[in-house]
Amino acid sequence: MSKDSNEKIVLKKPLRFKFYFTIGVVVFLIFGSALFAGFNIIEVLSNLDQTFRLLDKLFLPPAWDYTSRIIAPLFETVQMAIVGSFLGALVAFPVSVLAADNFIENKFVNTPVRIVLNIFRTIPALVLAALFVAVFGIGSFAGILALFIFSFGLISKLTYESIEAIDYGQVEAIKSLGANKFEILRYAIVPQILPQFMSYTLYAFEVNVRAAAVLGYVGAGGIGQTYERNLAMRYFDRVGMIIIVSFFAVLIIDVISRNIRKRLV
Amino acid sequence: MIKLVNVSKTYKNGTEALKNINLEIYEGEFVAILGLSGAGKSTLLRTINQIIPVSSGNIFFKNVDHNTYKMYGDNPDKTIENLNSKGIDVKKEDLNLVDVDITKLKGRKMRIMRSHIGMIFQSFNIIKRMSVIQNVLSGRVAYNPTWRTILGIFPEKDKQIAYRALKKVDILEKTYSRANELSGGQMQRVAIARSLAQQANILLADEPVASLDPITTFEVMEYIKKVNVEDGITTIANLHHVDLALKYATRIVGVRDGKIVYDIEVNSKKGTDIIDDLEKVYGRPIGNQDYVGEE
Repeated sequence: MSKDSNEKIVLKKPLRFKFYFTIGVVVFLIFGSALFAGFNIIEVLSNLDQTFRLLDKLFLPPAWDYTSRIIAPLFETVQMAIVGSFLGALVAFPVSVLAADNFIENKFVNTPVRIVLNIFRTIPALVLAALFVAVFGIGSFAGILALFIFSFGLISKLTYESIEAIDYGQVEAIKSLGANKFEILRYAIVPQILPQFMSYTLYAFEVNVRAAAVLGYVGAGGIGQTYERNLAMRYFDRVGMIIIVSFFAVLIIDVISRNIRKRLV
Repeated sequence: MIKLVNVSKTYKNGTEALKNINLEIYEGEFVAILGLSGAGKSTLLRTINQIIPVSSGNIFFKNVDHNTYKMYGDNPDKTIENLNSKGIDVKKEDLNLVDVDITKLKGRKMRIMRSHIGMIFQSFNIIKRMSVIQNVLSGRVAYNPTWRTILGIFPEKDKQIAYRALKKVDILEKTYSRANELSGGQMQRVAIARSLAQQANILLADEPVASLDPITTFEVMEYIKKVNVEDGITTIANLHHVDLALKYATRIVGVRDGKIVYDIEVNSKKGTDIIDDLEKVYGRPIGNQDYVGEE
């Protein structure tokens, strides 16, 4: 054995000040926000009996016979989600092409398109729905428009990032054939991003089903409207049934959609 | 056929990839461009079809018909004679043969000019999610209206061109396979077929065999040589391996640090002497890593 193998190895640990500082900031933010929002754990615990009373009213037992009257608005909700995500995808595709800076190499095009996309994405679907209800009146049309704008923002953002991440060699090759911009799009870009694009559309659909269930609360059609009406009339057992049926509907749709998406990419 | 005059390329980040290149390439040649990685070989090749625009200088193509941008090469009379013997009716008095500077072309003219120049790549760059036939037919994009190419409906005449191209590289049986099911060597053969479908007069090959195993390397090189000899396609290939250059090329051009430092006809000198010269191009002894090895 050589001599230095017996020597004790002393490594100086790097100071992890930055790490601890970050944790401190995060903890401060969480507690600070709770304090600011008036969240009080004691109040939660002391009102626990109220919660149980409500749960009892909702689910023990739910209004089983009400199921048949939930089906129609539930289908309307799913239809809203389908139409909304389909229209969103339709508009998102050309817009994401304009936003991708490796296809349109012009900042004066990319930047404004991206700014508009960001604005669309910051508006919550519920606010959009309330706005459209005010303009177009109560009903699923307002809901569809809200979901359309919401899916458009979501899909186009994800798609333009996919376009920017493609293998550029294929673009080079198609360009060298003497192809114009449309042909480059058709042969070098669409085949590369199509599976992702379809996956994003399905993902938007999943999110939309969940969002659509709430939109009715502001009068934008679907199951949310039924929910709101029964809650106002204090038919808690019916509300419980709506929650159960919607839960399973969302679950089933999620499972199906996720399975298709897995196969796409 | 091609004449580069004072071509320089400086990238946005300040890298001077090409420094005042002057090079003339003649019809039917097989030019191997050798040099270390980063010497500017890829940039040089890409300026020829203007996939990378030059910073300064001109690239002339000799005897290009000013109406159709078809190339008639160094000896247009012979080219016309060949075309006539294939039943293609061309008369010299109908043509307006001029030297065209590709660096000055824009838009549609640039695209037509490019369509006569084929290009293959180290990473093949065929469209993996499309079938082999669609890939080869994509070589016909510049010959068809955009609506046709977008819908992917090509006329029977173009399909025949594509089938013949696939037959030439012996891969006709894979016509309807998806491109991502192919091996590396097969993918490169499809890429060659795509260039053939372009009916290109020039083939630019950027490290065409660098990601292939030795056996496939020789196979693919044979096809490139076949296309060069049988179809008279002027070929310019960036190569890594000295022995491939000596075996297949008719001329070797050495690039170092963005400049052409060596230029020789392969059969004008003994192979071993050329290898000695190449040590100056590489700035180091030529060793095992510079050979593919025995066939």
